[in-house]
Amino acid sequence: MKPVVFKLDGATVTAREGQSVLSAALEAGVYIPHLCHHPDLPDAGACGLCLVETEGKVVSSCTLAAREGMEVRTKGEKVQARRELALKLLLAAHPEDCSTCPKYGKCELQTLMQYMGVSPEGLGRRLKPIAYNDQNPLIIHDMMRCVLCGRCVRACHKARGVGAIDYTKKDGETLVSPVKGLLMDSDCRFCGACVQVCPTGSLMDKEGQGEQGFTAPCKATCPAGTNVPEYVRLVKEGRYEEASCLIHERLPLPRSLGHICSHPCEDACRRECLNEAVSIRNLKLAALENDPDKVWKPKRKLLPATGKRVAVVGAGPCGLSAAYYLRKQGHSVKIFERQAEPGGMLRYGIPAYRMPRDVAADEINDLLEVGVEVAYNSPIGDYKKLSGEFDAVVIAIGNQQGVRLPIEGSDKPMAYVNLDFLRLTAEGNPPKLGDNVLILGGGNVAFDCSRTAVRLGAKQVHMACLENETNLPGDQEEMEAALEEGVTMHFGKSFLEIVGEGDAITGVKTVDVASMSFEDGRLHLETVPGSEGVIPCDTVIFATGQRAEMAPEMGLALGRGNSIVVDGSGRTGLANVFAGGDVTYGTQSVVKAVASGRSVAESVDRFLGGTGDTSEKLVELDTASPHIGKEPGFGARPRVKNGILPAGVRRTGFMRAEKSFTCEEARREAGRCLQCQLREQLQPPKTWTDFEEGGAGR
Amino acid sequence: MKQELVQKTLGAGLYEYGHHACPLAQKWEPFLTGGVQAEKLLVAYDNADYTFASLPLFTEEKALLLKGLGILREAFSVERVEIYLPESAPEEVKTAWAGEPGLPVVYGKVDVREVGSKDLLHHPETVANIARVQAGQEPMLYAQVAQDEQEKTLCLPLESTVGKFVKAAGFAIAEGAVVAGGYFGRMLAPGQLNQPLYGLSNCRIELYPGSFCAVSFAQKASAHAAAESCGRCTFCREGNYQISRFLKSAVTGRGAEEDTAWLRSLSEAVGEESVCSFGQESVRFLRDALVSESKSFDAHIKGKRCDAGVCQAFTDYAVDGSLCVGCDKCRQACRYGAIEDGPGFIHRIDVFDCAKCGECAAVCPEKAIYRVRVGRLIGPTKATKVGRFRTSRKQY
Ligand code: SF4
Ligand code: SF4
Ligand code: SF4
Ligand code: SF4
Ligand code: SF4
Repeated sequence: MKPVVFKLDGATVTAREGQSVLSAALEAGVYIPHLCHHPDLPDAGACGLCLVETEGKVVSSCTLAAREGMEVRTKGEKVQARRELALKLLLAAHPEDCSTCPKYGKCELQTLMQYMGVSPEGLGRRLKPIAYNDQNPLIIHDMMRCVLCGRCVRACHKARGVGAIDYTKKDGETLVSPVKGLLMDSDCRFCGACVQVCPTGSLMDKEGQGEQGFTAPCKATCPAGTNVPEYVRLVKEGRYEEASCLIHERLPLPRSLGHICSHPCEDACRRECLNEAVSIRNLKLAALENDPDKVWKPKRKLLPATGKRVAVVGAGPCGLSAAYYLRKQGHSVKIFERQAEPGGMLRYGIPAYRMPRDVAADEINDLLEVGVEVAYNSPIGDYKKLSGEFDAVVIAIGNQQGVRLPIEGSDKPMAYVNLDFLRLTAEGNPPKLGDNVLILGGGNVAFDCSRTAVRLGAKQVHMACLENETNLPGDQEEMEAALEEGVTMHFGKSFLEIVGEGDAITGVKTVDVASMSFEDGRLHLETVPGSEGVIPCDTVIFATGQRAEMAPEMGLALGRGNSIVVDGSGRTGLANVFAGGDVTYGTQSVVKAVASGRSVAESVDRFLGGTGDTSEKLVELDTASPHIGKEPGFGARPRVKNGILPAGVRRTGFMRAEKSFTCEEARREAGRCLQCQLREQLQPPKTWTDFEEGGAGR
Repeated sequence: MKQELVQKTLGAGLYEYGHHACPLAQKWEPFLTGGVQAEKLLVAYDNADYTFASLPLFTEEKALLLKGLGILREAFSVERVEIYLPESAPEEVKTAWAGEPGLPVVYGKVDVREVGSKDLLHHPETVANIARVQAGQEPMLYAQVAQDEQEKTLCLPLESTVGKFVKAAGFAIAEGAVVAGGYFGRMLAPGQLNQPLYGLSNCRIELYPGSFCAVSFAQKASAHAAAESCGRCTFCREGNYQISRFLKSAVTGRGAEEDTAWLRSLSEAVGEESVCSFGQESVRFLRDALVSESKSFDAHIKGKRCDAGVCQAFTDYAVDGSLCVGCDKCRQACRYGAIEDGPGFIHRIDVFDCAKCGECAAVCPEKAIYRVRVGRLIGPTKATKVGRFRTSRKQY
């Protein structure tokens, strides 16, 4: 294509064939005021601000194609007066006060007002009689502020191919609105493109649903920064291997996480505001299960040996992740693990009906096979000594100590603590249970204990917890599954005493909770006087939390719950000792642990003279098509439920309870994604402050 | 064959009708010699049209229109056709064109931003004339002629002058004003009646045999424009709103000195910067009138008067004392109790109580009640028996 050369205020500007004068000018660094132009949308010549003068005529520069040898002037009495008139006209129909507008400070109309120094004085002001509308999910329409630049309509029709909003006329007033009442009825895809391109405060994300510099919230919330929207798209397109590669770029042990991740991404998913979040975790599992050849593996990065030696303590998710990335950065790595097998919570904590052992073992092997050495049955007591033997040490021992509440009777033989109970069961030697087991606690570990007790044959299993049904710390699905399996729940109970003669247990004495709150991290509890009662049982399992097995004499500064105090890069007080995972911040999630392990690995790598860059490219991603098109009934499409074994079958053993998505189910569910990431493709518009000199003048 | 079709049409020297008037030879040039293959054939009224005088083409003369479409399709080897019809089109038009195979109908204005350089756009009148010429007939033109409440639609040879249309419609060209093109047209001086009806966005001829006020007419035109603009262009949407506001002030005696300058700059900007014929034509009348009727604008804005006696704010209702027969009907009809004296007396309107509703004038069997310039006397000042007052109607 031949470049086109023309004159702009006397200066020579080069444009591409067919390029508009406005776009060529902006690229050449000359600012011409504009409002309806957006770099990613076709131009409309609607706002009347980008006027220029050529061949004695005043015309919109956004719809004026640059032609060889043409002379264009951005300054001049007529052109400036007319441009000012356009802005005056817009302002006359716009609310006067910017200070109450949520777009204040980010509004393009406001910057134009500042740039041109224009007010609508002399013209008749009016407020458009259009009510503020927050009836739609995710998006607020405050069309009183609309300047009818039409960007949103072009974004919806042209860029997205949806056509959910359009111009209409009501009582003589032009406005933009959903084509059928509400966005949901108009087959809106809730992609947010309209909001992203709106220059004013008329289309806004609802509180907490996006900001400028928008990132898809699922991706932003994943502790490991997994590129959720893109792998969801790849699954939708049936491109499982590429999806698997993309997942492995950010996430070690992803298939295990596909079974048990606490999925903060789903909690942040914007689709939740329409009906239900996208089933992200199941989609991840589908991607990995359909990559049997593990095509990502040969592509992974392995840097040349550095000669440095690192000890990692603990072969749980955090330790494995740290060891894996350190090894890939070229260091030699040795893990010291107290148990006989690797995996930590994946092997000894989470029951097998949730976390199939072969899946975890296979994935752990993928990590270790890059050349990580493991010493099993090797508890470490003296970190100082270890630090003398290695160039660096990473402590990733997790929180392994269950907490026994300090109430009377808590030391009876049939009163167990959560992690011991689960570990012994996982090792194949479950402790002896009576007929009637009571689990104290309401988190996911408590559900693991109760559902395990059911499978071990307890006749009756009860759970009691401080919280009520609505603020239960455990997942809703866990509770539903437990109830189906016959577990009885007692909400809002505080525990006073384990009662029973001698070693025997006959019940737990409780009192009802009136209110509970956390202040400065401490629990404040009010109970109902006179509400004492006894829940009968013969076995008790404490599932009220766990802490790190650390003692002050180990020479490390300890914080709340025995956690190791570290700085932002995971350094402890000892020069070459680092720590990560639950042991540094308290019991959280496996995904947070693997993310923490990777981030510590990066710190250690830097400490050892490396770049600290563990990123790797396992797949060449194509660009997602922004043209998503119309899909009738899109907003209402229900979340696809994966199958689950009947409760009666589940109760009988530790086989996997849930079923994976079939490819068809996965594709259907992935199709529910709003593809929030497409918004990231839309460029932020340029305002006059982005240009060195004033450009076209006021 | 194609050649023949084109040659025959061009040979007749046909013009495109409407806002985009130009010889067809010129319009077709890119497709005939410029190597452009037409993608779509669009048949549409001008966006500025609101009278749609030639709608009978879509009912009575449907066959003719179809023939024209066929010729164009064949001549330019174009398959896709879109027909634009006004949303207000009568049911019979809609039914006549519903489900016509290969001829989708869109109701509403053309979005000119969507019309590409490969689209061939024609006015229905042009399509019909292409068919007529091909059949060896004379090209024709539909027009509406209106005076007061009466309105006639007629079809005459294309070159017919305004005067001819008026005559054919059975109206006399009286003194007063003739406006060709309705709200978006222009006032014709008596010498201009021998012009053909070309270059206008609609074929409506309005006759104002009595008094005509250009400012008030422009006000109505701008209110119409503000209400009907599709609203995409800032100038057309907001400009017409502001113009109509300034003109409303002018006709109600609230105009300010600087308003004329505003009207000038707004109307120029709307006319020159709007994207489609609607915006461009919407200020045609005003732009002409600001020049040719500048005295009238000054009279309204600065002098607070309407010399034509049209603008209510500057006129009063009054009873002509020489015509009133004292029937008392007006007094009974007046809801504001503004009319004095009983049967047998010449009735008088108290301008302070009068709400200018015009009820009295409507019921007066003698047509004795008139709008007069504020302060003008055409009846007695005190109670007077019928027949005791004489004055000439000519003085109003
Ligand atoms: S589909 Fe996207 S661009 Fe269109 S209205 Fe919905 S959110 Fe806005
Ligand atoms: S809502 Fe925003 S983007 Fe849409 S027309 Fe109004 S100002 Fe422009
Ligand atoms: S809709 Fe899709 S892209 Fe948006 S938050 Fe949910 S999973 Fe992520
Ligand atoms: S000129 Fe008026 S009617 Fe025509 S596109 Fe612009 S706003 Fe719409
Ligand atoms: S209706 Fe007419 S004629 Fe009758 S009294 Fe009134 S002005 Fe006179």
